[in-house]
Amino acid sequence: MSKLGKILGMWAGALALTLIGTAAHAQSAAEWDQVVAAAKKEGKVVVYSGAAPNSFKRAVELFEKAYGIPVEILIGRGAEIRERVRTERSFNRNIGDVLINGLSTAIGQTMAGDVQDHGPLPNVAKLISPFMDPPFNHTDKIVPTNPTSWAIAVNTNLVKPADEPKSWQDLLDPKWKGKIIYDNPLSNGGGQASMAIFLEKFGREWVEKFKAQQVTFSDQYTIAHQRLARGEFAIYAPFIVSETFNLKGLPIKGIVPTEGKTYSSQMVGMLTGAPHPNAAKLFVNYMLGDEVQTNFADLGYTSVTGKVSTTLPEELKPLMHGKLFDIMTEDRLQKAIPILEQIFK
Amino acid sequence: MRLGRYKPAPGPLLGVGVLLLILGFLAAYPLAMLLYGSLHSTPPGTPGEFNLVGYAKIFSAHDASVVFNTIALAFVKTVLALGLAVLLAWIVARTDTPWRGTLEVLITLPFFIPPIVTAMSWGMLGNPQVGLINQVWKAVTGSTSSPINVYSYTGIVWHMMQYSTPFLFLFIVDIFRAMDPSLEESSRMSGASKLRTFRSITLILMMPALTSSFILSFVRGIESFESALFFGTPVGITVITTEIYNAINQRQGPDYQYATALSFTILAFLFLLVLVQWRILRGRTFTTVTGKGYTPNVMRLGAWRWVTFGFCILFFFITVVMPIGQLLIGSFFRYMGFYSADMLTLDHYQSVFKNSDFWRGFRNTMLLGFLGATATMVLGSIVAYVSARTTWRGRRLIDAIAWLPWMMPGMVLGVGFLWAFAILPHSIPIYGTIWALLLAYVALGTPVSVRVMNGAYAQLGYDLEECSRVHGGSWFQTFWRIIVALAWPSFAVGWILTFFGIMRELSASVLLYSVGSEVLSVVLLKLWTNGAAEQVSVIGLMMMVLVVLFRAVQLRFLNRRIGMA
Repeated sequence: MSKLGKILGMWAGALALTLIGTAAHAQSAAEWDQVVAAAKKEGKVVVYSGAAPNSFKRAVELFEKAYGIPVEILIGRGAEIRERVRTERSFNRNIGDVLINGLSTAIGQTMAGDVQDHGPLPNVAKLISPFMDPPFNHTDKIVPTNPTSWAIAVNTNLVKPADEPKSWQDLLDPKWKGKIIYDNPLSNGGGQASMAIFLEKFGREWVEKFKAQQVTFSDQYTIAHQRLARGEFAIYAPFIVSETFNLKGLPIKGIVPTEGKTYSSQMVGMLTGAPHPNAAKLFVNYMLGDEVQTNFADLGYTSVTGKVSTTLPEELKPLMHGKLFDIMTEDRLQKAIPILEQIFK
Repeated sequence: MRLGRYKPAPGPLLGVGVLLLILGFLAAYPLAMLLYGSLHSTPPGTPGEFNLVGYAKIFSAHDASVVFNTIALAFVKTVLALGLAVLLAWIVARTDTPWRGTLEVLITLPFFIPPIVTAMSWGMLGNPQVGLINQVWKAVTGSTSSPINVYSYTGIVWHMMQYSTPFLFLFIVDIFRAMDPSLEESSRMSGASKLRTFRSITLILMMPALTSSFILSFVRGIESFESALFFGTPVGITVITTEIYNAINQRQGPDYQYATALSFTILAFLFLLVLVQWRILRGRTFTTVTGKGYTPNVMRLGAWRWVTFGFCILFFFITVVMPIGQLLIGSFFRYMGFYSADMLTLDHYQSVFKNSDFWRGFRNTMLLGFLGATATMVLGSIVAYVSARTTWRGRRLIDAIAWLPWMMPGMVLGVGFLWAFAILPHSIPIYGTIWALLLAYVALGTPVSVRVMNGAYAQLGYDLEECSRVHGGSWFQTFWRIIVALAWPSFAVGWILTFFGIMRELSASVLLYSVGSEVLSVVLLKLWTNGAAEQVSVIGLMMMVLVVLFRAVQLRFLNRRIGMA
């Protein structure tokens, strides 16, 4: 084949691919339009949320405004939502369409069959690294929405700037003995996930030394905030950085450790047997849309699609969007829990 | 005693059958689902196998210490609370202490405050580092040590007592009031001292009510959750309910087999306790309300009446004014416990009043409270009547089934209801409706209603019923005009207890409510999980106002009835 022939062939091939791509895009766009139309016809979407619903309040309002589809939210604690969903699925009593839950519970539910494949969602392509990698790699069923990150918090009346802990390692400093309150490492949540990371990264000896600091454990972060602010303790960890907004005016300061923040995410997926499947798909997709992701960034969460906040004060940006350390995956956590039980039970 | 029992005309078999059917559905059926859960490797609806793994896990050193902690804490708090409640009830019902009507309302208030609200408050008042009580102590005495630490065994007992004392008081005060004083007068005329009369006559006559109350309160102590969660968990004290909570809510996969097995083991232990109570009381009569007219005996205390008055006010001050005062003040500041002028705000009140979830929850709770409390008390009155005042075959079984929901920790029983209602055929539309909540509330409230009415019936003489029968009264007329009319004060107390029990119930509500049927406790949970502790306090304060109104109306109504009689 002549050079010209080759070039013409390449152009023809490229044109064909473009045409196929455009046709496919047009087709998928048309299909998505059908989903939107069907969702509107279904008339509502029922969301089961085991996560703190406040972070989704604005997202839900935006969805309702965008599509005119009312959202009904049913909240509960993570495990209660999990059992409710399992029971409804087992006895064919499905009421919920969408699941929102914390990472480990949501992944567990995905494995158990509580959520179904949502099919192609246009906005899934917007996910950036590391949010399409493990443990988020179930994106055909469940997608991350607003990663929560954990840092160290200090009481500014008790801890002078020069004495502030700079890294997770500093928590072992003898001067903090009896002055730390920490989320229960035996309970599902940030305290456990972070401690499992410390166990892996710093070793068992570090964890044992941490326990020897006469740490007080809490099962409720709101109470831990109050106790830190009142000066019962000098340090609280792991501190949810987005809570900074709720604690404005209190003597509490969040510090990003040099290793970075531990983190996890809220997840959203379509429930198996959802009575309003199209509305559910539309809702899941919308949570990855630009408006919602910008809103999450404004609230101090990391955007999974890389959106940047336009309203977040500059001084809070390092804390909210600072360096990330590690995230705990389900399989690693399962290995860590028996060791944590040996140490802390 | 058996000879005196009234044999009713309408078919007892049918009556027992209907009651067994109702109680079986409300109480035995959800428990059967839980029993399945305890014996099966997976919850209902998921493939698995039958085994005893859940029960095997209980036999560990950890669980032994948890069980010991739980029983010891429940026992100590019940003994202390019962002693205090008897004293307070005696002061209010049988002495000439001033403003007894007002004191009665004030003493019962702590029972109706949501436990998370008082726990939050006591966390501020009694923490060793910066707690207000310790600060005052240090300032007054110059000491550097903190005498009060609410994060301890004592703290847990103290917080539980705040609920137990008024709860027991409510049971006991009407029993004191309804007591015919002729026996006490006979004792006094025979030369017995006041103290001996109180010990040998008054207390003995109150045996059914006291033992019932003791067991009810002890069982509640075993199942108490918030006190141990707030004041025990931070210092490593675990009790059965926090262990169950951890098994369900705090593990990667909820371990229902272990949680239900542990609950059934406790249920068996508590049931044995009830059997012991039945054995103690069997064959003894405690009648104090007869056909003879009487005037309640009021002891004249002279100057001492101001001491008893002061004691009641002190109880009210410590259990209500201190924690609620702290919350009331805190509700006007941006953050609880941070009192500076720049933090003053009415935002929390505005947020609550503008919160549509709150108003929807309030409406639903009022509706469910009125319907639920009425249905529960009607059912409880009938069950107690059949159990205490008939010779119907099967009456013991009915009484036993009615007890069952009381002995199962709420958070486990809630799961039992969820499973039980979901598994029903689709032609029975209970799951996902407001009826699921109503049925669960009736089941949860029935044990209290039966106990309240049992205590009242045990004191009624049979002569009144026989008199009605001799004069041609039908079974229903006798039940309504004699029994219900005389036991009315207890019915009213039971109604209030049940109503506010419904208002506070969370464990079953959070699993059974559906979109549109949110109740107040779920709204509180939602606010709490969002960190809005101050708004939770505002709602707690509003509930207090409601309680005061209800109690005032109830007492005014009762006084008028008693006055008319």
